[in-house]
Amino acid sequence: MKKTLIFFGAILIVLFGVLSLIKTKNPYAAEKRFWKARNATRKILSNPETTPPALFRENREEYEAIIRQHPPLAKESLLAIAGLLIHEKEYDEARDLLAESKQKYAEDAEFGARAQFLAGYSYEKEGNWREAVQAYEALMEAHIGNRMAFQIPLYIARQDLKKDTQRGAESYEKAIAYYRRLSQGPKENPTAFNALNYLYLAYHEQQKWEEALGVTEEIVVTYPRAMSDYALVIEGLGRKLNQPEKAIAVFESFIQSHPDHPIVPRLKERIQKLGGKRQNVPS
Amino acid sequence: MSKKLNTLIDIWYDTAGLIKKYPHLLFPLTIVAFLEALWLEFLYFAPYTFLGTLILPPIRRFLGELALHYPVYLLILPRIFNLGQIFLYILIGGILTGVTVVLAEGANEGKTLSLQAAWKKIRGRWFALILAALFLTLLIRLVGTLPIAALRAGFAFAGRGWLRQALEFLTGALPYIHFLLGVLAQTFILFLIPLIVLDNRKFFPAIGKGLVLSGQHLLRVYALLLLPLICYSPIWYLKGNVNFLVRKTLYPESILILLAIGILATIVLDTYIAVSATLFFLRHKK
Repeated sequence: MKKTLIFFGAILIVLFGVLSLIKTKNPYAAEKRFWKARNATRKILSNPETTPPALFRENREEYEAIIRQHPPLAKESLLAIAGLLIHEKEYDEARDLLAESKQKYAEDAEFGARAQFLAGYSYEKEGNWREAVQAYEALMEAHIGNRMAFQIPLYIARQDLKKDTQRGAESYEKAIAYYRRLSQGPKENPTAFNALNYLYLAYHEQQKWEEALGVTEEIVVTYPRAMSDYALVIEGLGRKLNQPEKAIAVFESFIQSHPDHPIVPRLKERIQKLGGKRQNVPS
Repeated sequence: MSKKLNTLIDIWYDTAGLIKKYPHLLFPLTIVAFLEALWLEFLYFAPYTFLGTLILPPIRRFLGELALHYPVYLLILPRIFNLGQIFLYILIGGILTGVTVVLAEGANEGKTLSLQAAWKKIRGRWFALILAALFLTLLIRLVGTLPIAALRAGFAFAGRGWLRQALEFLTGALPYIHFLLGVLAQTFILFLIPLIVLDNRKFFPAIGKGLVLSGQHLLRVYALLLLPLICYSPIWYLKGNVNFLVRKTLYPESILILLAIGILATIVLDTYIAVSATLFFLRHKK
C-alpha cells in the first residue's frame, strides 16, 4: 500500500511539474500577470507617500513588459502606468503618455474617455484646478453619453462647493444646463433618459426638492417604466417638501394616464400612506 | 450519561481507533482522491496548455466567454471540479466505499483483509453500489433545491407581515439549512452500502431496510454523521464562498489550495463515515 501511495504522489508531483514547465505564454497567463501587477498597484496607491520609488519603477516595468508581450492588455496597462506616474508626481510625463495613447487608440472611445479623465485628474493632483476643469469639460463634450462624462459635471460642482459656496452653486447651474441640454435629445436615446436621472441628482444634492420633484415627474411621464424605481423617491420628496399632496398629484396623474400599469396597486397604497383619500384615487 | 450517547461516543472512539490501527482502511478512498487530484490538475492547467482544447469549449458554451479569463476561471473552478467529483463518485466512489466497508468489517474482527480479498467480496454488487452512489447524489441535489423552491413558493404567498420576515430570516440561514438537510439526507441512506455489501441485499430492499434502520435510530445516526461533517464544514463553507476567500487572501490560486485540502480531508472524512456506519450497523445486527 505504501508503494502505491508513493506512486500516486509521484505521479501527481511529476505531472504538476511537467505541466508547469510546458505552460505557454498565452492570453490567460498574461491576464494572470496583469492581475498581479494591478494588485501591486493597488497596494502602492493605498499609501503612495511611503512607497519607495523602486517599487513604483518595478510596477511600471511590469506593465511595460505586459504591453510588449501581450498587446491586447496594452490599453489597460497604459492607463495603469499613467496612474502610477500621477502618484509619483510625474504629471507632464503622465499627460504625454495619455495624449500619445489616445492618439494611438483613437478608435476606442471608452479608452479615450478614461485617458482624458486621467489627464484631468493629473492637473487636479498637481493643484491646477482650472486646467483640470478644462480637461474634464473637454471629456464631457467629446464623449457625450459616456458614463464618466455624465458624472463629471456633478464631480466638478461638488469639488467647487467644497472650496466656495458661490462657485459651487454656479457649477451646479452649469451641470443642470448640461444635463438639460442632453435630456432634450430623442426620447428613445438612453442618453436622454440618463441625463434626466443626473438632472434629478443635481437638484437633489442642492436640496432643491421642488425642482427635483418636477424632474422625477418628467421622468415618469416620459418613461413610465421608470415609475417602479421612482415611486419611493417621489413619496420621499413629497414628505421633504412637507407637501405630500404634490407627490399624490404625481401618482394620481400617472394612474390616470396608465391605469393598466402593474405598479398601480402599489401607487394606491403609497397614496393612502401619504394621507390621500381612497375615494379620490381613480380606479 | 445516557446509554445511547455512550454508544455513540464508543462508535466515534472505536472508528478513530480502527483507522489508526488499520490505516489501510483509508486506501480505497485514496484511489478516488488520487483521481480527483488528477482532475484538479487537469482543470488548473487547462487554460495554460493544450489540455484546454478539451475542456474549455464546453465551459465557454455553458458559462460564457468571461469564464475563461483570469481570475474568473479560478472562481468557477470549484463548480467545474465538483462535476468531475460527482461523476467519479457515481462511477467508482460507491464501489470503493463498499470495499472500505468490507475492510472495516474485517478490521472490527481483528483481521487485516487485503484489498483483493475485499474486492472479491463485493464482486457482483457493483451495479447496486453504483446505483447507491447515484441515489445518494440525486438525493443531496434534491435536498439542495427543495429549500429554495419552498422559499420561493413562500414568498409568493407571504404578505408583508411576520411570515415574510420569517422567510427573509430563513433565506439568510439557507447555507446552514442546506448543510443540516444534507446531513439528514445522508442519515436516511447511511446504511445503504453496508446493507448491500454485508447483508447481501439488492438495491431496493436495501433502501427499505436502510430507511427503517435509520428511522429507528434517527437522532443517533444524525449525530453520528454530524460530528465529522461539522469538522469538514469550514472547507465546505469556503468552497461555496470562494469570492470571500480571494478577497481575503488576494490570491486566486488559494482556491486551488482549498480544493486540494478538500480532497485530502474527504479521504479521512468519507472513510470515517463509512467505518462508523459499518460499526453501528454491525453492533445493531448483534
